[in-house]
Amino acid sequence: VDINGVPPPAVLGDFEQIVLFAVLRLGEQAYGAAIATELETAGGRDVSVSAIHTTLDRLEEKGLVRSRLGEPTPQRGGKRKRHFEVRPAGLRALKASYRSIRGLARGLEHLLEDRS
Amino acid sequence: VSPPPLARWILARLLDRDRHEALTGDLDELFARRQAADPRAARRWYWRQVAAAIRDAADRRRHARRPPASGDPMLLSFLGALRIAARTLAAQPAFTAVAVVTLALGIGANATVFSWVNAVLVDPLPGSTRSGDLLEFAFVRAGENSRSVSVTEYRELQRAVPAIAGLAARDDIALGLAAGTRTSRVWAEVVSSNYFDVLGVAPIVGRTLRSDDERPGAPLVAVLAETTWRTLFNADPAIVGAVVRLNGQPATIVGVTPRAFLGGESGLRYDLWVPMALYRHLDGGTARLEMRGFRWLALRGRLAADSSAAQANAQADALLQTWRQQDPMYAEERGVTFYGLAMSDDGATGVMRTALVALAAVAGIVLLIACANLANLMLGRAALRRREMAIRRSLGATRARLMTEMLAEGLLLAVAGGAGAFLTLQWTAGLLIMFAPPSELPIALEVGIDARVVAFTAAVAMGSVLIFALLPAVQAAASTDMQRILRDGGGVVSGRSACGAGSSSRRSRSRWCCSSRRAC
Repeated sequence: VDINGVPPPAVLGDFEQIVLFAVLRLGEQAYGAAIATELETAGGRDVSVSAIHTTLDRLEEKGLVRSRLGEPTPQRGGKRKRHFEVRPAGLRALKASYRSIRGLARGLEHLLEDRS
Repeated sequence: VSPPPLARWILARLLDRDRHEALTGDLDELFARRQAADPRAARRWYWRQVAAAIRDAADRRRHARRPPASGDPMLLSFLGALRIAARTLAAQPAFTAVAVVTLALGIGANATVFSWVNAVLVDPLPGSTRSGDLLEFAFVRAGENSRSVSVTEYRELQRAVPAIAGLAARDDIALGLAAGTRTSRVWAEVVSSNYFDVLGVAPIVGRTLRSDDERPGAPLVAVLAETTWRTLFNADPAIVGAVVRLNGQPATIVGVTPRAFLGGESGLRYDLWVPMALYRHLDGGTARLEMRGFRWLALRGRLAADSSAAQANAQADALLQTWRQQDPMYAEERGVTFYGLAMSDDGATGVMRTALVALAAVAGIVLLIACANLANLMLGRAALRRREMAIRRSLGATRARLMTEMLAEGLLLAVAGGAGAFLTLQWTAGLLIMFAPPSELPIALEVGIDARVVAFTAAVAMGSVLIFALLPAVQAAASTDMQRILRDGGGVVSGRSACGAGSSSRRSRSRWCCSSRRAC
């Protein structure tokens, strides 16, 4: 807890970061299948849906995301979606991760950026 | 086409309801999309997803089974200290072995003697109720006391001493027992009809004795010991009512006593019990039952509630005064006394009491010497580890923490020593029989290892920790002048770098302790 009574941002693992990014990007539409598709198309990663759920469970336990069950839909065989939403603490953690990556990458853009 | 049914079944078994709904919903949705592009690849994809779910579920279960350490911080830090102590001791097998064997010998000697004391003095009549509370009676004489009384005296004592709630009489006799065609020589206890009630022994078959059995003209009855019932009568369930012959006289078996009950004299085992009325059936036996001067019975009494042995003695003394006025034979009795059965001069208690007290003292001294030696060893180790302690203090370990660890080492050693003692006890307890004098009597000195013996062994082990580990722990943790210790190198740092350096003598000492690598 710092001088203003705000706890330091949580430290995120690599997979936690990209899942949080996907949840942020999808906004209202953030649920398992959509997150998996987002990670595949935008992130270029083929991930297991179970890993996404497990990670989101963990993030929810840490208070970084919250989830709610949606309405049953016919294309899912009547099963309900579990929607996720990033909480303020999650956003702070993601900002801290992003800051540190940006800080580390500063001056290395010529190596990291794809110019092709 | 839907996803593979087997895969879906696995998921259903694997996941709880909420997790299953959200995950399979997502999988179904994605599967449908992939199915449209390439059905075979979609199936493969689905199976990969199930495999991942299995892995994740296994992970979840593993974490659930081993929850993060939580609970009382004092306890946790003590458990941590125990773990560190165990590692330290395991890394020094020579020291540990010497310490454990020393303790096992010291504790083992005490546990053994206690198991004997327990068998002979604390519970002199196994199988009876609170036999340690039973009293014996004796006339006080100039030379040695005499515990024998006549039937007349027994009856009058019963009436005149209300402080004794139940007073039973007993003696023993060797009898010929004829059952069917076989005759065996058995040891019988001749007892008053209230004997089993006073001792608190309930039959496992039939009944014990009752006052009817002593009535003149009553048929002779006998109660069998469980062993006799088993060996001579094959544990016949219809034994009650069977008629045997005792020294030629017909006697009816009325019951069987529990296996644990051996009889009314400590250290002896009887085969059967007959009422005093037996002597009416034997030639010339009536004199025993009628003559005031024919003293052959030993008494077993239990105090009434709220009564003391002193009250019982006073009441019996008043009776003795009356006897003196009536009969000159009481001139040589200086007094009468009731005393605990453990103080009896007969039976195992009489034979072994003095020896056991002496042995207990010797065993105590052996343990003290063992603890003193061990304390020396611990102090030596503590001196070698002064530098390590100083470094840990300077890194923030509290004095209490270091003491806890040292005490934890002591505790582990004591537990191991106690366990070793307990193992030896299984064998040494039985050695009590070596104290028995040669005798034709049916000696039975079985030493049971009961809860009392276990508790005593544990208590001795824990007590020894206080003697051998407390002082070294205080001393080691109290090393105050850290700067000086660190500068002078008073002791050896545990750890590889320090072990490698220094003179050869330093190295030999470090081999002793360098393995105790530990985190602050």
